[in-house]
Amino acid sequence: MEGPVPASILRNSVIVGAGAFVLTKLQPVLALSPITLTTIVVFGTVTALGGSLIAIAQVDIKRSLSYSVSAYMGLVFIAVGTQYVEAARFLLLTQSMAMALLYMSAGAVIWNNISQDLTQLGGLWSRRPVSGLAFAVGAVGLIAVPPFGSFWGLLKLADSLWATHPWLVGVLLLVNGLTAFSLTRVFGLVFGGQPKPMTQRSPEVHWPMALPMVILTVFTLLSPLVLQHWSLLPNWEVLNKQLALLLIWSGLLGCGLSSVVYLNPAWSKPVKLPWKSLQDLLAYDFYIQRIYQLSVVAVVSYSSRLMAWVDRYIVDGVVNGVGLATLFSGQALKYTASGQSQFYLLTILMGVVLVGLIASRNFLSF
Amino acid sequence: MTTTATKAKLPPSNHEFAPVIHRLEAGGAMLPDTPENLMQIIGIYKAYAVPMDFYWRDLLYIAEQVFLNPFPLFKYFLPQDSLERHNHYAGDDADLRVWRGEATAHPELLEFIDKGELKTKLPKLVHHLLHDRVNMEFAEACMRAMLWHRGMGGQFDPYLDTDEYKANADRAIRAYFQGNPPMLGLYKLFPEMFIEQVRQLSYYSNLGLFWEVMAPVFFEMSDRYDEGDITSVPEAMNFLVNGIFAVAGRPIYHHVHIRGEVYEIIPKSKGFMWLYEAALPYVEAVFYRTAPFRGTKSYNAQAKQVPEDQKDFHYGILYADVMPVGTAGIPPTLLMQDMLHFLPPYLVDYYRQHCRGEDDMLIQLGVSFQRSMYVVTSAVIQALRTALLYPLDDPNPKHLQANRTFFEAQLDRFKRPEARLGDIQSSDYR
Amino acid sequence: MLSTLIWLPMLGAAFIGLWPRLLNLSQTHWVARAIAGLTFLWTVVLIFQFDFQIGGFQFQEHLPWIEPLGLDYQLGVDGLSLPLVALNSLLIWLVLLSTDEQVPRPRLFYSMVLLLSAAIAGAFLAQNLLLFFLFYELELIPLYLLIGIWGGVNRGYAATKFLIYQAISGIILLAGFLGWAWLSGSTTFNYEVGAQVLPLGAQLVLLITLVIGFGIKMPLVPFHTWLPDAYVEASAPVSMLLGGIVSKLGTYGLLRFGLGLFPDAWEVIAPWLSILAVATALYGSLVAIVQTDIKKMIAFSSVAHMSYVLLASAAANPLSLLGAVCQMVAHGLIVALLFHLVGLVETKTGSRDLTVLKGLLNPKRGLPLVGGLMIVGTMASAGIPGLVGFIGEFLTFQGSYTTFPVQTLLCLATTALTSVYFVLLINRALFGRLEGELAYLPKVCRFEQIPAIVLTILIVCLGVQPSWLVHWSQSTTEAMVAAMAHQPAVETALNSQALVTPPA
Repeated sequence: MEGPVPASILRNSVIVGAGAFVLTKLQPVLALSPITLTTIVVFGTVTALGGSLIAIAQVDIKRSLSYSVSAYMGLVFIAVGTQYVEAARFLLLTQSMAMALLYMSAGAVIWNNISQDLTQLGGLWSRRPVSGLAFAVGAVGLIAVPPFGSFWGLLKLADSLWATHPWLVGVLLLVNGLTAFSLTRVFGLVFGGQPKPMTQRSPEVHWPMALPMVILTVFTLLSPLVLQHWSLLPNWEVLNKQLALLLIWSGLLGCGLSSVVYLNPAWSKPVKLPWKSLQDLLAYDFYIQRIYQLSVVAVVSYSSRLMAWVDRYIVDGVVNGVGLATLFSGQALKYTASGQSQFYLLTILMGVVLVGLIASRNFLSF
Repeated sequence: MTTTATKAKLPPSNHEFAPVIHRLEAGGAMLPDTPENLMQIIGIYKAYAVPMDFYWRDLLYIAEQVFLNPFPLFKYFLPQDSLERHNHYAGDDADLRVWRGEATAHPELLEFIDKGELKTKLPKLVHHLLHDRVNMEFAEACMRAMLWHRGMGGQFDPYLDTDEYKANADRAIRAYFQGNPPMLGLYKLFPEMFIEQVRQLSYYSNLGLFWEVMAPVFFEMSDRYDEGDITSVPEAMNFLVNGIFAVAGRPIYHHVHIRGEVYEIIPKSKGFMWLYEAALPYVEAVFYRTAPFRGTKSYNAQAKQVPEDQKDFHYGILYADVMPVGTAGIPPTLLMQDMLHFLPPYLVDYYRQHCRGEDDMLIQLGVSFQRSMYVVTSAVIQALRTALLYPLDDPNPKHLQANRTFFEAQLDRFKRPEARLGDIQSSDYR
Repeated sequence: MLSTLIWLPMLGAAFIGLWPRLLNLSQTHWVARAIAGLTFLWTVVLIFQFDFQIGGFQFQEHLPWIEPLGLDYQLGVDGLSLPLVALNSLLIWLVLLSTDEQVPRPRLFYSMVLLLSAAIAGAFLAQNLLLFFLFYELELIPLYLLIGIWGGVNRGYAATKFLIYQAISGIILLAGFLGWAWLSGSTTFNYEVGAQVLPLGAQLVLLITLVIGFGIKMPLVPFHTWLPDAYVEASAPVSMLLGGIVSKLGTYGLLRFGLGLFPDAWEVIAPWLSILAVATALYGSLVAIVQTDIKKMIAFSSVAHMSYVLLASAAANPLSLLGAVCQMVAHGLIVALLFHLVGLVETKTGSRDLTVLKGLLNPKRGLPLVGGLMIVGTMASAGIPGLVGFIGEFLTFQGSYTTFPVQTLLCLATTALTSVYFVLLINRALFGRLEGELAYLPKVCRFEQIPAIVLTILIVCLGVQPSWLVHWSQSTTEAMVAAMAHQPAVETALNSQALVTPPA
C-alpha cells in the first residue's frame, strides 16, 4: 500500500475486481474438477477469515482496508468454489463501490494529515464531516446493512450456501462481523476520540477531491435503487429472512463491540491484546512474507547459487582444466595484444581451406 | 580585523561543521563565499521573486476575496485589481521602499500570465488547462506545511483556537453565506468544519503577507548585484539580515472583503509581528520540515516509516534530494518549473555549460535554489543571534562562547545524513 | 535477388577494408551505414515479393561451382530462413547506426561487421550443405576479430575460447555433413535434391553429431561456457549480433538439417532433446539469478530462452515449429535491444555492476529512456502479453504441450524465473536514489537512441499484431511437418514440387 491514493482506490475496487471477475468467468472450467473447487473454497475461507482478522491488527489505515478487500475476495472465492457465480459477481460489484469510497475517504484524511498511522490520527469528526460521512457510508455499504449494496450480495450468497454448505454461512457471518468490527475500529480511531498532534489542524479537502467523494457517497446511498433499476435485487419473498436477520445481527455485533472499545474514551489506546504474540502474528500478516522468504525465495536463491557455482567451477572449470582453452588463451592474448590480428585472420582462412581440401580429397577418393 | 580578534579568543570548534561555524563567527554564511555561488544565489532570488510576486498576490486574493467559496474554480486567475495591488515595500507609496521598482505586478510576470511558456496569446483558460501557468499549488503546499506543523513558537497559531477568533470567523462566515440557506444550514450542522477552513485561510493570508515582503527584497538584491553593489555572499546575507530587521514589525493579519465590507478575522491590532509569526514559522515549516513527498519516500505506517513526531520531519529544501526534481507529483518540481521561466540570462548560460545543459536545468537550478536557501537560513540564524545574543566582535569571550554554542546548536540540525550542508560546500554539487 | 544480400555487404567490406585511402573516416562511417541500409532495404523488397502461400524455397539461384566436390553456389529462401535473414539485415544496420564514430580502427570494424552480415546471410540462404558450412566457418573470422580487438579486458581469452568452441562445432558439423553425403550416396550436397532416407541407426549417429555441432552454437548446456565470456567481453554492438542473430544459426541448423534430413531419428531423440531443453532452460535461468553483471545475466537468460526453441523443435508439430521461428525472431529482437541498452548504460556510467548502479530511471539526471525501454525489453523477455516475447513463448509452449506436457510445464516455470532475475535487475539498477557519481551522467544522444527505439517499436508491433510474423512462416512450417509425417516418397514429391515452383 505504498502507492498513491488514486492508485489505491483503483487497485482495491476495480483491479482486484477484474481479477476476481476473470475467476468467475473461468468457473465452468474450474467446475470440471471437484478438487479444484474444494481447494478454492478452502483458500477462500482461509483468506476471508485471515484477512478480516489481520485487518483489525493493522495500524496503517490503507493496509487495514486492503486486508478487508482480501477478506471479501475470499468470500468471492467461496462463492466461485461453491458454484454461485451470480452471487460472486454481485458481491464484487457492491464491494468495489463501497471500497472505492472507503479509500477516497482514507485518502482525503491522509492528504491533510500526512500520516496514515491510525495511532497518530483521531478526533477528526467535527472538522472533517464530509470525509467522515463518506467513510461511514462506505462502511455501511460494505457490511450487511440493509438496504445497501453488500447486504444483498452477502444475503444472496448466504441464501445459496445455506442449502448446500451451511458451515460456510458461519464463515460468512464471521467475516461480516469482523469486517464490521474492523471498519468501526478505523472510523473510531480516525474520526472519534481527541485530536492528536498530527490532527490538530485538519481542514476538509478541496473540492477536486471532495466532489468525487460526495458523488460516490450519494451513489452508494442510492445503491438499492440502482440495483433495483437493473433488476439485480433478489426476490425478497423467496429469501431466507432468518438468514437476513443473522447477517444484520452479525454486523451489528461487530460494530457494537468495536464501538465499545474504540469509540469509548475510557478504553485506553492503542489496544493491547493480552497475548502479544497473537497480536504480532496478525499485525505482521501471519508472517507470510517471512514464510515466503524461507521457502520459495530460499529455494530459488540457493539452487541458483549452487548452479552458478557448478557453472563456474565444474562446467567451465573442466573446460579450462583440460588445458585447451588455457593453452590457447595464453597464446592468443599475446598475439592479439601485439595487434597481429591479421595473422589470425590468415590462420583461420588457411584452416578453412585446409578443412575444405581434406574434405574434398576424401570425397574424391570415394 | 574583527575576525582575527574572534579567532584569537576562542579555540577552534570541534563541531562536525567546524569550518562553517568559523565562517558564521566571522560574519559569513553557511555557503562558501565564491563569485560562482553569489551569481547562482542572486540569479535564483530573481527567478524566485517573479513567481513569488504572483504567489503573494494570489494568496491574499484567496484569503480575502475567494474566502469560503466551495467551488473556487478560478482562484488561480488573478483579477486586475490584484495585479495592480500595491506592494507595501516597493513603488512610490511604499511603507518602506525596499525595492526601487514598481509596486504593481512585475512586468515579466504580466508577460508570462499573458503568453505563457508557449509565447503565444491564448485565452487564460487554455493556458491554465495546458498547465502553462504559475504553479500556485506550490504556494499552497507551503501554506499547508505551515498550517499542519504549527507549534513553532509565536502567538498566531494559538490565537486561532481562541473564542475571540471563532467569533470573528463566525461573523465573516455568516456574512459570506448570507442568503444561501443550504450553506448556512451546513454551517449550523458542522460549524467546526467551516472554522477550520477559515483557519486555513488565515494561513493563506499569513504566507501572502510574508512573501509580499520577500519579493521586493529579492528584486532589490538582484538589482544591486547587477549594479555591482553586492559583491560577496556575506554582503547578500547581510542585506537579508537588515531587511529582516527593517520589516520585522510588519503586522500579520487576516481581513476578508465581503460585499464591500471588511471583516477583521485577525485584526492588525493583535500586533502579530512578521518576524515571529510568519518568517520564523515559515523557515521552520518549509525549509526544515514539510512532509515526505509521495513516490520518493516510503510510507508504510506498520513498518514505522512515518516519523513519530512532527518535529522529526526533515524533508524541507535544506534536506531534500534535488535529483528527483522533474518527477511528477513533488512540490519542488512545481517551483523549479516556475523559476525556470524567469531565470536571468547569465544563469541560463551558466547552466548550459554544465551537466546536461538544457536537459537538466530544472535540477541545476534546484541545486542553486538549495544554496540560496542556505543563505536565507544563514541570514535568519545571524538575525536571531543579533536579536538574542551578542555581536560577533564582542570583546567578552563568554559572550563569544555563547554565540558559538548557539551556532553549534543550529548546525546540529544538519548532522542528519540527508542534510545538504556538506554538499553545498563544494561547487561540484550541481 | 538473394545474392545481393551476400555480395553487397561483402563487396562493401572489401571496399572499405582494402582501399583505405579512398575515403576519410566520416565518409567510411556513412558508406558502411549506407551499405547496411541498402541491404536492409533490399530485404524489405524481398519480403514484399515473397509469396507467403508457398511452403518451399523461393528466389532460388543456382550456379555450378566445383562440381566434383558437389559444391554448388545454390541459394534459396523459405519461410524458415526469411525472418532470420530479415533479422540479420535489420540488426546489422542498427549496429552500424549505433556505432560511435570514435570507434578505434574504424575501417577494420566496419568491414568486419559487413563481412559478418554477408556470412550470416549466406548461411541462412545456402541450399547446399558445403556452401552452408563455408559461410558458417567464414562468419567466425569477423566475429573472432570483433571480440578479440574491440572487446573488454579479457577479450583475448574470450575470443580464443569462442574460436575453439566454434571451430570444433564446425568440424563436427562437417563430419556430419560428409557422413550424410557418403551414406546416402548422394553426389551433391544439395540437401533438397539429395534426400534419400538412411537406415535409422545411421540417421541417429549423424543426427547426434549435428545436435552436438549446432548445440555448441546455440548453445546447449554443457557446451555453453564460451557464451558468457564471449557475450560479456564483446562490445555492445558485437554482443547484439552474437545474441541476436549468430546464435540463431544453431537453432536454424537444427531445424533445417537435423529435422529436415533425419526425420526418423529426430522422432527417436526428440524426448531427449526436450529434456535437454528443460535442463538448459533451468540451468540458464538459475545461473542468471545470481549474476551481478547485467551482461552476464542477459547472456545466461539468452541460454535459457534459446532452449525454448529446442523444445519447440523437438515437439515438431505445425504450431510448435511456428513457435520456434517466432521465438527465434522474438529472442533476436529482445536480446539485441537489451544488449544495446546495457551498452548505453555502460558507456554512460562506466559500469554494468548491479551492486553499483542505482536510480537510473531518474527523469532528468538518470537514463530515463534507456531505463524505460529496458523495462519493456525485460517484460518482453519475461513473456508479458502484448510484446513479441509472449507470442514466441505462447506458440512454443502451446505447440509443445501436446507432445511433451511435463517438459513444457517445467520450461514454463523457468519463464517465472525470468521474471525473478529481471525484476532484480530493474529493481537494483533502475529504482532507488540517484547519488554520487551516478548523478552526473552524460546524456544519451539521439543517435544512440534510434536502435533502441526501432527495436522497441518492432517488439511492440509484432506483439500486438503477431500475424505479420506468423504469416511469413506458416506455410513453411506446415510443409516441414508434412514432410516429416509422410515418408519418403511424399517427401521427395513435396520437395520436387517446391523445386519446380517458379520464383515469385
